[in-house]
Amino acid sequence: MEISTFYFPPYNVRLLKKIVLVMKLTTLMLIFFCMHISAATFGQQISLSLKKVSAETVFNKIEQQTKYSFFYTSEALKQLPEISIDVKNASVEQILDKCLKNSPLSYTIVSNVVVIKPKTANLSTAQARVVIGQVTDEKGNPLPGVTIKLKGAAQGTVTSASGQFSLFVDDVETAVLQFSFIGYATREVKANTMAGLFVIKMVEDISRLDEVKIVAYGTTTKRLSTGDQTSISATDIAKYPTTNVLDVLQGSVPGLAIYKNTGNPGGSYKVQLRGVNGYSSRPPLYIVDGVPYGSMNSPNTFSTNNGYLTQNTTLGANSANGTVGQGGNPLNLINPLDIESITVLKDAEATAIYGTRAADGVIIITTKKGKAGSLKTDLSFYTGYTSVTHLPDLLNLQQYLQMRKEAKRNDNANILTTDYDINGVWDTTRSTNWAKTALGGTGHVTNAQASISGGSNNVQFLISTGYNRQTNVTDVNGSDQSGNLSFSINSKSDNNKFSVQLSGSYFYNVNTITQSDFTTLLTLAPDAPPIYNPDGTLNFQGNTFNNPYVVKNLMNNTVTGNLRSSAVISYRPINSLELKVNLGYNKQQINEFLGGPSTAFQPFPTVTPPSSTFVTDNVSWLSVEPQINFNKDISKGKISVTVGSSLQRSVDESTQLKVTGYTSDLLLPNITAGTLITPIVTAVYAPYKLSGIFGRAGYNWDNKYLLEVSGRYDGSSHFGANKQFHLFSAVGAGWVFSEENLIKNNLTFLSFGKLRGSYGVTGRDAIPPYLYLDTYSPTSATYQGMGGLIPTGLPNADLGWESTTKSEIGLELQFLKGRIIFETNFYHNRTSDLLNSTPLSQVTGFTSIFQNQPSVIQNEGFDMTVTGNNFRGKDFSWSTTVILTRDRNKLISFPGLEKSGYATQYVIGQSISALPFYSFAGVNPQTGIYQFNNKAGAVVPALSLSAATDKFVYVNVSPDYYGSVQNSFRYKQFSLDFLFRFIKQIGLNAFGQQGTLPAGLSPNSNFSTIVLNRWQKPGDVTDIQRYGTGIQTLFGQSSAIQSDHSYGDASYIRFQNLSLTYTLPQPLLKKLHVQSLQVYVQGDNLLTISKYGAIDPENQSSLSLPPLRTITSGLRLSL
Amino acid sequence: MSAYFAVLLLLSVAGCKKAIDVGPPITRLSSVTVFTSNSTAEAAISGIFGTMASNSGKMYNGSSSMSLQQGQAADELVNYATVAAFYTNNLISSSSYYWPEIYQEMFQINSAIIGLNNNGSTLTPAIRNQLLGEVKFARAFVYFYAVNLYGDVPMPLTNDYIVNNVISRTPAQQVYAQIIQDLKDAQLLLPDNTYLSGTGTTTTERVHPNKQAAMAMLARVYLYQKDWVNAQAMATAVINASSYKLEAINSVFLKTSQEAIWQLSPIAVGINNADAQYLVITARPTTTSGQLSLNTNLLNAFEPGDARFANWVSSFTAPAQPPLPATTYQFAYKYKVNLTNSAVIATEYPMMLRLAEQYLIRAEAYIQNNQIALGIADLNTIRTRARMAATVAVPNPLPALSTTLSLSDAIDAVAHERQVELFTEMGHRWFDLRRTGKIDAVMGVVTPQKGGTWSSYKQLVPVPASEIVLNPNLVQNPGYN
Repeated sequence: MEISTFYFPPYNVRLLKKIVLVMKLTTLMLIFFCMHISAATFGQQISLSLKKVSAETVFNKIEQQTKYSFFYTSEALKQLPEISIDVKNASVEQILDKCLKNSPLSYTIVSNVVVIKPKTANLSTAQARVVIGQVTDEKGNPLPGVTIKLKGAAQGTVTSASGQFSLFVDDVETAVLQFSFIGYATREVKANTMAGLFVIKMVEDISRLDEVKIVAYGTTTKRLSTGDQTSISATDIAKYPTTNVLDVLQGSVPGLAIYKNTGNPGGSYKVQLRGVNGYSSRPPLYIVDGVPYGSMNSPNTFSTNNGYLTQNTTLGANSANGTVGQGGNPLNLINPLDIESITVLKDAEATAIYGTRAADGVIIITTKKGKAGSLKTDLSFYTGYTSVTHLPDLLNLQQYLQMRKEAKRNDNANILTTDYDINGVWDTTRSTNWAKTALGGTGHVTNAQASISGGSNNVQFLISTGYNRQTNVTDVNGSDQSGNLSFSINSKSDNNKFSVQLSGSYFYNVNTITQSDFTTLLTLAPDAPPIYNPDGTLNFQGNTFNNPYVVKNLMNNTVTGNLRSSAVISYRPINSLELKVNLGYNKQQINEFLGGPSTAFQPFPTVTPPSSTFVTDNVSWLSVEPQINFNKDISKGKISVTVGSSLQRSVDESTQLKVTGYTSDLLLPNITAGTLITPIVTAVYAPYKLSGIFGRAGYNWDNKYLLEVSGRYDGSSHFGANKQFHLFSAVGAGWVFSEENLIKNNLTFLSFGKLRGSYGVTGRDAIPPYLYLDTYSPTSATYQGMGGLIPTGLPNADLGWESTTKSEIGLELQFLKGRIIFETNFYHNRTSDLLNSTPLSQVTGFTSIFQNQPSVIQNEGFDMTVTGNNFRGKDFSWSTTVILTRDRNKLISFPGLEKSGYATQYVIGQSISALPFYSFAGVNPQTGIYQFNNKAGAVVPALSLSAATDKFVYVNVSPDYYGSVQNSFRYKQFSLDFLFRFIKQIGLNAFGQQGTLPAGLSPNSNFSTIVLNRWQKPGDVTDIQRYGTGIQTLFGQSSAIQSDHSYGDASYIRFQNLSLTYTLPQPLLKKLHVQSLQVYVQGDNLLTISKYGAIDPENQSSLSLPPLRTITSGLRLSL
Repeated sequence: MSAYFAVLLLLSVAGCKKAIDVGPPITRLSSVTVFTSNSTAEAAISGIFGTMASNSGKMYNGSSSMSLQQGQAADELVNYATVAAFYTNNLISSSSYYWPEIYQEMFQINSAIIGLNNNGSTLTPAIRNQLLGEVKFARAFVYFYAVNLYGDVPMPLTNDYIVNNVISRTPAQQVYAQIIQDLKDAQLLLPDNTYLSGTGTTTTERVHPNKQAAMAMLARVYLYQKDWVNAQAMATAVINASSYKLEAINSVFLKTSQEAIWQLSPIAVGINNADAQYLVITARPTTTSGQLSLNTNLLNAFEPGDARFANWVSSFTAPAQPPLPATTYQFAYKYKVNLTNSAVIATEYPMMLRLAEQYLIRAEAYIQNNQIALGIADLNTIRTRARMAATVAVPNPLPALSTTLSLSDAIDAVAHERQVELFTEMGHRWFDLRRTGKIDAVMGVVTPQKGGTWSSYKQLVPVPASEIVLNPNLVQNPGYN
């Protein structure tokens, strides 16, 4: 590699315009470039035939035919007349001589760069020059995309696909160039040393201390942050075959607990950062590209009183949810592969600047942006299948029939005409394994991505598109398909004062999966008739069989669109000051059509007329956030100040209509084809406005002592007139003690050590709008043709902010230059003025009222992360990360608890997650019926229990601790990553997942094999009561499933993720004419080690599809 | 410099109240405005009756109606479901039954009474009187059933949740006093002998209560209070009012019925009366179909030649379906149309108060007051209407009763006549058994037939246990926990 320097005239150099480096569109040309760059021949022959064109056009043409790049100022070129030229096989010198003949300009060729300059310039005395070089990794492979910045100035550039760069330097004697690249240690090189043959080698940085992390309204590094945050990069995301990035975060972030509620495509998640701060788990605030990512409440779960938005609840309506009310998740609508990085902000220091809504943490998502360099095309494709990991054990045919008959016998009950399963109507000799039939299938996943990116130092762009298709493992119809198109453009002026960043994305999802969860089929009787008649029609067995497959005829067409757009406009009048406006607009739109043709219902006793449901839900979110940033070095310290304001507006509008009176099933998708349209709930109009002023000041003394203070004054439209505004603030401090000389000189193995702490107050306003107003809503019910008005709810004019006070101490240590990294955090939160719906006696006309409850909830815990870069060799490296988290909450105070609706639910000093249950006392050996310990200490049957007083055993269902172990291996071209996740917890067990009706009572209702252990004769000691049809067994069962016996160990270790990737070696790639090519196999939820008896310990439900196993294979290609 | 100003301007906008003003809700009305105009006040009252007339899970018609549930609890209806709490007289305190609905309606009613009282000046006086009369009638009507189902009940008269959340149960006598007061108020406020629509125009439909509805209800309340003199007087006033006559047997439940004193207007298009969906049997009932056939005890109560048996009871024979034999189900057929069909205009409206009951009230009041002949005359009026033509098989159909019956025979005759006249209507049979003290004797026999066990405490519905948890001032009815 040759490096050349050349000198430039000092005047008007700031206006120097560097034209775009040659972009090569084909692989062939790129490889040619890689191979021949150092041996480029400069005596290339050029043929041109141009008439009356500008000099710029001529130069462009030369660039297209040769390896030459041109440097010139546009002002200088204005001095040239239009040029006509016609040459064949000429040299560049010949052409340039011709062009510049009789002009005030001359040229110099250094290496393959042509500099056009005024003849009069005196080059030899100038201190300014352009530096050209190449950046490689340790092995000498060129590194594209490395950021090169002139230290202390705004200008900079990025290396091209071949690792090359050129940068203009004002004063070569003092200039220092900073080279930085994610995953590599930042290097600083003095410009005046970069003479002669010069290649900059970058060394991989395992300490990651100086990697840029995006935080609230700015960036930081691990070294200098005083807050607690965890980042996930695009590389990590690419290891997961998923459509929701939460699957990646599950297990990878200390303090973040994520549970999948269902395996159905488009399903919902429970996301809980740092335990539970309120009465129930609340999701964090999502920020995507600086804009709050609002989502909507599921229209399916709108209560009839308050249909409401608001931020961070689940996005529903997406019909694939299977079980109605399970909702979806807003992150289902963002393509994970469009995400560049995710930062999870946890403590007050990191989150308080978001003031509002930050109480439950903040997850900041940044999408991919274009990088300077030649045009780069990335393609990826994977395909695979999904399946259920574990089928439950249910009674087989003999056991089932035995259960039914024994139940009848035990209670001297007659076999009824409707007991088709045992009265001979159904064939009791044939049997179906319903678990296998319902859940034994496989679903398919196909995913394709393509992106094009590139750009110059001034303008970079990225355009990407993706497609994903999933089908369900159960025998339902339809598929879930999504596609997206995203773009981003970054642009800045030559003088770096003005910059614009624009990005946009449209995500489109079409879901046609039948809205029904076949998991509920598990409990069909083994002798239930076959689903289909021999002729292929559904079998109703002479109108005795409620054939569950009728729901396959349900129609679903749910179309979801998600438009995201954001713009950042920034202006730097002076180097230390930046004025910036962040604009964002999101719109999510759901159009749902659910058709119920008459064939989707049992044809008996009467035919159900066809009907359809139409749901539309629109949520838009507009955000305007101007801010001023000021950064200055003062003495050995750096001061940084941010002041800004935030104006946000969101509206959620939703309508749900039911249409009946269709003349044909075929017309169901036509909303006007029915004769009667009725609203299912009152139309929702939920506006939200938030306005606030925020500020942050930070001081960094010598990278050793760090202090940050932030505050925010926020007003929310959700509150009563006098309680709208509230001040939130936080302070954070850090001490990088490894920078102290005493430690630096004596404890040399300690390469980094930081102690940090923070304290602050954050808030929450996530409640429905207008709760402070006393209102009447129109009702769809008319009376004598007249529309009615009904009271909406009980108003509370005193609603105000909920606040959470957070304090945290963190310790970060690195040994042996990052070979061992250790981080631990202890946190303590207290939430007061809890916004919650307080249960009321129904005599008030309603069941609850929203209030700021006077109770105080404490939430504390710790997390710990240890990363060992166990082995690092040329061919082989191995690293391990272990994460452990423990959260605990408890109710500190609750004035008037004993008289409130929570009197039987909570106990002061107990965990909020501990719920009261009856105390199970096994089965009465004489009667064979469940019995219980009552509060007075006596053993009593279910009928003697009082729901009000006898639920006195508290079971805490929040995890005891959870974490993960992740390993990464690299061997030559292979890389292997796998993650095991573990959780220690108590959960709803197989016993608790039984229905309220006792075993043997209902026809066509199967049970788990746990019931085989039932009581059979007096004297039997067991924990399963006798089979029965009578009232004794009925009450026994319904109370037993509300007892502590329904909960048991639901701990598990899950082989959550595996990714094996083979990267083709460079020589092979050159032959294939591609830049990089990887083939991989990935797996998710591969194996679960657990003593849990029911289907899945993660979603703990016998009614909804468990999280699925996914295995995919694919390839990634860069051109 | 303009950039500075732009940023400063934006900074200054945030933090002011205007920036977070979202305006009034566009999908709802503030309660302050509701009772200030005739049309919205009328809509609020339509909201009350619309809630009562709702066919889903409400106590006045449909699957959870008193007609069906109290009919099962008594000796009128047979249920085929696996678990049937009412049918087996096995109510439990973990279920809520009628409780939420009663108080949901009461909140609407009390809010309306307060709103109408506070805004008298802005409404047209006639409209205000009519609306106030209607809601007072509604309050009395709802509390009447509350006190008969639950015994002593909390009796909120305001919509203040702070008060109502800790309210105690009011003794039944006091509740009755309030009912009588409200009905007397309504009697003065409501239109006489005519029916007005929600917007105050005269209509043929009898779906907004009028003065006679208030009086008919008063007659019933006096009867339940054993105030025979007033019961007789009120019933007489209604019987003598010009708008009412006993209809032919098959016209009684039509929406055009002249016998109707008050009917509910069906709120769902295409449904006559949601009770009929469960009462009229067209296929073999299953454990989940919700169909209810008639109890043998009721069927046996009909005398030969009774047109009510011929016209208000029908049967369906399910064909044999091996191993199930062919089975005949006899069912209540007062309302004939059981299907939901939005293309058909409703012909039958849920009957709340009708003239025949007034004859029966007066008959009972006369008899209890020892004017047996007058009482028997009223019973014979009802029997005459129900008498079929004589046939060879039944030469003396439904004979007139002797005016010289003994007191106890006459009392039994009233009870019998009420049983066959008012069956499957609004739980009349159940409430009659309770108020006449015969419930233990009758249910002691009937409940075991239905597969349950009878205990006297079961004549009252339990207060939801969750309510006692929320409001420790509430106490459970004896016998329940």
